[in-house]
Amino acid sequence: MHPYKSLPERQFWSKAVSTNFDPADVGTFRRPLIRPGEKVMSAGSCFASRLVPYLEKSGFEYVKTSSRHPHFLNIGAENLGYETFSAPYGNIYTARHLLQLAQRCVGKFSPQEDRWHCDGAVIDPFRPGLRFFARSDREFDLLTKSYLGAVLAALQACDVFIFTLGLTEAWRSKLDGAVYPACPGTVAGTFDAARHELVNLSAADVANDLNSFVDELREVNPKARVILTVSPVPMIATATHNHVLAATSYTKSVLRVAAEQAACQNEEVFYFPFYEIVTGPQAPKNLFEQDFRSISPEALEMVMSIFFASCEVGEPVRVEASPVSEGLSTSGLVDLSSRLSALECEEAAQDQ
Amino acid sequence: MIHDLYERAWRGALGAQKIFMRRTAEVGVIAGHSHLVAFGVPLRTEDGHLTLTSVNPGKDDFLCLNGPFPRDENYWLEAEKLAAAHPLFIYWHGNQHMAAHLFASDPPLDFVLSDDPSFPIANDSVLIPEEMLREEFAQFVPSFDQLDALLKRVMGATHRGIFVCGTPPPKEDTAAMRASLGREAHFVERLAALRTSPDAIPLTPPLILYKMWRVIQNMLRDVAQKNGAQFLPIPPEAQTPDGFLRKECWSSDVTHANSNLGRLILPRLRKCL
Repeated sequence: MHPYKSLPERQFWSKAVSTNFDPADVGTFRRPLIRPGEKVMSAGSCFASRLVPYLEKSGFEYVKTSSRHPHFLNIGAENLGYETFSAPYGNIYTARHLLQLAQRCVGKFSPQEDRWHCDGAVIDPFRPGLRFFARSDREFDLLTKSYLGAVLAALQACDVFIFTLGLTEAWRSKLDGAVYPACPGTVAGTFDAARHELVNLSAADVANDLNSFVDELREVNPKARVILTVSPVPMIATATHNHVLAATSYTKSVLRVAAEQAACQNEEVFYFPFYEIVTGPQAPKNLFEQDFRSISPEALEMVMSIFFASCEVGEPVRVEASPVSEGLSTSGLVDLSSRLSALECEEAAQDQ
Repeated sequence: MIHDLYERAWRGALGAQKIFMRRTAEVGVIAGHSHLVAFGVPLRTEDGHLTLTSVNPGKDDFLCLNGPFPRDENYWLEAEKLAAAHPLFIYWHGNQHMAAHLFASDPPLDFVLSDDPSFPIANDSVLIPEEMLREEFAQFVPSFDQLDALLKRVMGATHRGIFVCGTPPPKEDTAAMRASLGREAHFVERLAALRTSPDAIPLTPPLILYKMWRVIQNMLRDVAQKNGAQFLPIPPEAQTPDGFLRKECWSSDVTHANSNLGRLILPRLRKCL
């Protein structure tokens, strides 16, 4: 007799992966991740943005603390999914960005390089692709105050916060470590090696950032639960000297380790295995598109059905696949706006 | 066609001798949309034909190109042809703020005016980016893109000077605007669609309408300057100290100005001849 003798079949590759693989069995949860009527907030990478329509139709209440004024519903869609999430933060690729955003909401962090003046526009470095940018410093200050208020309201309102980790590589300010969602100069602004630098976060860095974020969240919302996931979408580019495949492997490994550590070290913080379900050797070939990077609609359907199987939901949730939103801009920054409207996310600008 | 237009003018208010004399001197042509009424000309010709009408009887230094309304392609083609021989003064739309925002939105909105951010923001209003407002105004037809295309054509051809003219600011008096709501078809139709009355409909505060008007003037200026044309703003003497349209220049409807404004503008235009 040895310890493995008494283990369930799901803990053996031969019995749970080679044969009889049930993706719904990959997660290990003692109770439903989300219950009906609970308020759900989400953030994260591009992949996270594609989960939102499913969450909105799931029977949970998807928290939205900022929506467009109804008078302007006929104006083109915002760029880069800034109107997708619970508040208009757009994609948040790193745990450091998430932590700093939470700290900004309560006045604990104020980035020194908090705006870029470009051709009459005042650009938010943390939302560099905004279609409806500010045109004066006062407008920027008021819009930013309103935006951070909306983020704080969402953090305070949610019962469950879902965060999808995307990247470890980030560009930051040398002044105070403020992390940008995209390298300055790719989406907007200008890259300056004297002011900006690359950081490739370690597992310890990411785990610490996640733990600190949970602390910040609990200060404004003690009851909130957190679900962590890792995006299965490979990096679009790496700024390290590694091959992008090796860099992706490092990144996803670090994020996976950090998510596990944060889940182990914090009460009411869970890890959901989107990453394993989509990228494991058992995964069907049709989960990625022909570029080996884009997640197929079939993959989304599958992972979300598995996710909802771990929650208490009523009817199965189906979402029609929608194309990347494109809008037309007649603003002064026509070239920038047109380019942005064709991009799905800030990360994609690195490949332009 | 130009000759034909002169002939039409000749058959109209102007005498043959005067026309002959003016054809040898500089005559400005004013063309555009509804704000031409500030020069005392009707909004449209009865039969929809193009005609040149003197806006300054006795001096004959300015002719207004009148015709069908809404203006059609032929109208602007004629304006382009006239620009080859005359300074062309263009009045382009200018009512977008009133059409879209005279009736207060729910919830109320406000914005920071980029060229004067110090204006107060209304309490309990939703702050919208000016850029969103600009995008809304840009969608109106006739559009700024159409103005841009027109200016590209006339500036790229032989011309005697092209000028884009500022349009009238709003009135400061909400009660006066409310009282004249029933005199413009656009607002009458909207009131009917909303099943409400001029007395009941909430109106956007004049200061916000004024800021929106400033945005439109800036957009007109930007399109003009981008194409090398000159922008001629509304003369300060037509405005109150706070920038609204002076009462002497109010017309009986909500959005337009009367011929007192035209009389204040003409000396400014004359300096461009």
